[in-house]
Amino acid sequence: MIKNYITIALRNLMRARQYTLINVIGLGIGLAAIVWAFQIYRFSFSFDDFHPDQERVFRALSTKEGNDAPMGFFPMPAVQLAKGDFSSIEAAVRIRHNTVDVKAGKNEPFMEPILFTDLDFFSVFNFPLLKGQNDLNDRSAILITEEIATKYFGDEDPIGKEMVLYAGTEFPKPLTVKGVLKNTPNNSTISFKLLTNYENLQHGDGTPAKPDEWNSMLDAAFFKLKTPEDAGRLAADFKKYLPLQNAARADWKMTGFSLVSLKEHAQMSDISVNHLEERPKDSAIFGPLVLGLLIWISTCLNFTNTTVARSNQRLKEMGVRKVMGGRRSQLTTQMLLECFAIVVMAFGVAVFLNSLWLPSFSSMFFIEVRAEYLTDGVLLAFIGLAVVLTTLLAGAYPAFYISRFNPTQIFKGSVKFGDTSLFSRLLLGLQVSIAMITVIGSLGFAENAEFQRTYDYGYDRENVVNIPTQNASELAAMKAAVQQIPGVEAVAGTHALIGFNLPWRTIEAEGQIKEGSVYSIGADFMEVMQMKMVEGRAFDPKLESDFDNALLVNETMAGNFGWTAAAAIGKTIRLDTQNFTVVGTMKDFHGTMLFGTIDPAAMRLVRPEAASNLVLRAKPGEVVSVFDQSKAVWEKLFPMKPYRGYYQNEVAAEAMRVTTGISAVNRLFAIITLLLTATGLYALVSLTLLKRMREIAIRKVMGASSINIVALVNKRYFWIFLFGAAIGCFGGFALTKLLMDMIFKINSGLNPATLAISIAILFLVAVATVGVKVWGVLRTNPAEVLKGD
Amino acid sequence: MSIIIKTNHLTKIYRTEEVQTKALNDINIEIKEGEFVSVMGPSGCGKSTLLNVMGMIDSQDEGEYLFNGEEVGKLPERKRANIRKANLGFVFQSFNLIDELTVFENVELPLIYNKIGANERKKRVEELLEGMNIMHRKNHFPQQLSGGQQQRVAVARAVINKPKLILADEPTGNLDSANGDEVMKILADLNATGTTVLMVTHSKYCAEFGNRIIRMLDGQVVVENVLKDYI
Repeated sequence: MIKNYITIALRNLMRARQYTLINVIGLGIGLAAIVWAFQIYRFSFSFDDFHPDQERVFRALSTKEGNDAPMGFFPMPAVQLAKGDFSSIEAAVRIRHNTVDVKAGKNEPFMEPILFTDLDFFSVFNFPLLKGQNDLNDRSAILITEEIATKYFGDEDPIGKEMVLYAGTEFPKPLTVKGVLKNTPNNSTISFKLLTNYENLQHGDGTPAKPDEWNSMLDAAFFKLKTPEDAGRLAADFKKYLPLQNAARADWKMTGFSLVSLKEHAQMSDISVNHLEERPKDSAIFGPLVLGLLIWISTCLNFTNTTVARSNQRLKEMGVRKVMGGRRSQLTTQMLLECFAIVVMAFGVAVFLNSLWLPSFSSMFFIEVRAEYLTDGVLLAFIGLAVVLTTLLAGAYPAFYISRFNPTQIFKGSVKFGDTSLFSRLLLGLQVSIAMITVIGSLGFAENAEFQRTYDYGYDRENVVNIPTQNASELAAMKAAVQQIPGVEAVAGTHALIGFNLPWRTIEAEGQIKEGSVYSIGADFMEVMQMKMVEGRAFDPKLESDFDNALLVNETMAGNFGWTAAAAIGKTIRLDTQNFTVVGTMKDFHGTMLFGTIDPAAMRLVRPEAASNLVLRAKPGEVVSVFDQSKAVWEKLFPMKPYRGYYQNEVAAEAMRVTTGISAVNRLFAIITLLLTATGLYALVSLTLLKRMREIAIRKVMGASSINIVALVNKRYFWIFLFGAAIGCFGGFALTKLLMDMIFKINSGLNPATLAISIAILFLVAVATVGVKVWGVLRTNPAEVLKGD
Repeated sequence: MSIIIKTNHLTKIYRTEEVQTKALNDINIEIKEGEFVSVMGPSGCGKSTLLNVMGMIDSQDEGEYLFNGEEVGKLPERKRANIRKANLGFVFQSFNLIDELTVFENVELPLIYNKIGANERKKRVEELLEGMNIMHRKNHFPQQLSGGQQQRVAVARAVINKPKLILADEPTGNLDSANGDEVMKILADLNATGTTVLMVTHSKYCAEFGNRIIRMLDGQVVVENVLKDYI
């Protein structure tokens, strides 16, 4: 029986090549889309699940005065103290990230991220060793990942080789490669390329970090407990360290601690000041999930509609099989098996499409999505389920519908089957809605990309280059040299940079405790950045008091304290233990990417010797040339140090990449859903015309005009199309706006023109699709059609 | 001989929104095993409807239909399908071969539904095709055959399962006289070996291959003519 089913299925599919091809490709796209969405979902919720003891490993988080949100920072000395103080702690790990210049052999130095940590690291976490040993007790040891091994040593064995670290200073720290680790997986919150003992951490002046530096914050602290139940009590007990911590950091007074399990921590996306990796935001997980499901459903609907549309050709076979003793359940099974065959072929297409699509997507969004079909059991199970669900969703209606007819009706020719039933038209309406949603998403995010490209950040981000240096003498030398570059308009030294530092502080005024960014800037910084004052005055380096206690606030910070821009002038603001007087109110500026709102911000003036970054503004159109020239100047001045300059515009790069990426994904899917809608519409219109050719011919003979015929053919679809478009408009608007707001606090929104253009695109596709078919009918000679009567 | 078909006051009504038509009106007939009965009458008189009800691919609205003494008209579709595939063979005017299957596969189909093993199926189909002189066409598709060949395949498909009753609806209607004769001869030969045949036809010539003619008009049996005794 099965062989017979397969035989007839294959012959049918071969005979209807066009139908088969459309549906194999269509369903292939649908399957590719849900595999893509599923893998993003899995990747996002699989963070840190490769550590065997994740139930017993806890990350310690802190809360800060004026802010109840959990923060990633933890006082450094408290970790080792706690390990000695509390017997419930089995292991404790300090984690501190840094970026260092690294030199190995005769290679030029590179900047690399390094992780300073403790001996317990490998008893808490699972980062497999490939070669050598992972004994962090050896202070002369540095462990490297296979990526670094290849980068620095190529095919040579790296074990025993020397690597010199310049830990933020000119002071070299030679270490020996003792072990090579597997690259950290992308679904790890802890990411590193180099790993060494915490005691190898050096301050900027070359002095080693001491274990009792209470002003030193860790990026993360982890504890492995003997029993997980101890976590709550332990977090409360940690409060004993608060007095020591707060005495050392008046600017960062902590109020308490919490312990979250590694599993729970991996799912948190709301840790403030978190220097570990995080799972993708909800919008990056559920956006693709919704999109993938929509595409999948659309392709299934398309299959259903095209199958129903060509079902007349199967009626005789169904009738004969029933007469020969075939039961309805057997016929239904046969039809479902045929659908299954198409879905299996479609899966082949999905594998091919995802082999192209997943790498592109991964590089676009930095979310590593792979599909290893042969080795990934969960993925295989999902694909099995997806194939079955697709078969049922796409094939159930045609299978049950076709198999229900009585053979006598079939042989009499009285079955009006495959007609454009309300169900078929509703399916088409749903396809139209889905297409509309993706078109609106595509156009909406394209519009948002343009909005963000031209967004006024409140300073000049197009023509500015930032060049970090390591000390005042480097900065002075570099400043003098770049001023000679003809394309440079203005240069300033500064401590803080907009968009690339985290100067988050507690700020107190008139009894109110708030938070905001406090930038320590050089005298000419605002001029270089083209920042504007709204009220009061800018800093005056001739006034000694400006260095001591003058402060500028932006409009948002003034507003947060309930002041107007003018009223802010003269107010006293307390930072840590020091009082400052507001001398000016700045026009608001966007200190971070457009993912967030404008932060309340203040600026204080620092003396030239405290500046470590150089900012320079190029003449319009010359920023690239200036960048290259400044790099050449640096390499001439400091040939042994890597150039770290970058464009200020990079502050917007990630937001731009995200919004253009989403727009590109939506554009791709919009094209697919439009094509699917066109295919579905074409199939239904073809069927209508096939069944009504005689009627149309008679009407033409009776004097019907072309417009009459077009109206006759289209009236069945017009309303459902309009209905589908209206639902799609609403859904597209709501989903796009929701996604935009989830990702970008600053966004363009959706304007009516976007909706109007989306509707126009969809109708154009519909008109073109129907038009091709109707044009053929209008040109048919009615006598040809009627001569058989 | 036992009675294979018996109907009591069999009535079949077709309903549309406005009109009710009695396609079969109080039909009372008996057919004994081994008979060859021809049903004649003008178009629309209910011949084919009677055949469909007898073939259990349609059901009556009133009255009884006893097949082998069992009331089958009200049985669920699953049981009717089981009786059908075990006892009946169908021959249609328009052959109704499945275009996607070869000659061999079309003939094999009833055996598949009767769960006959592959080796046995092959043996029986090849024997039958050989007997009907179409073995050389066994791998051809229906559209590659002449009308006569197609009907011979259809007859082969009808008899492959050794049915007790063959129902033939205008089996020569789409054939020329030579091919028509050949098909009628096959049906007569099958009848001669004990298979009951119920055939609907417009052709007096074909009808006379049988031993009895039932004449219908407006859904009713108006006259029965016994032509000859049957074996």
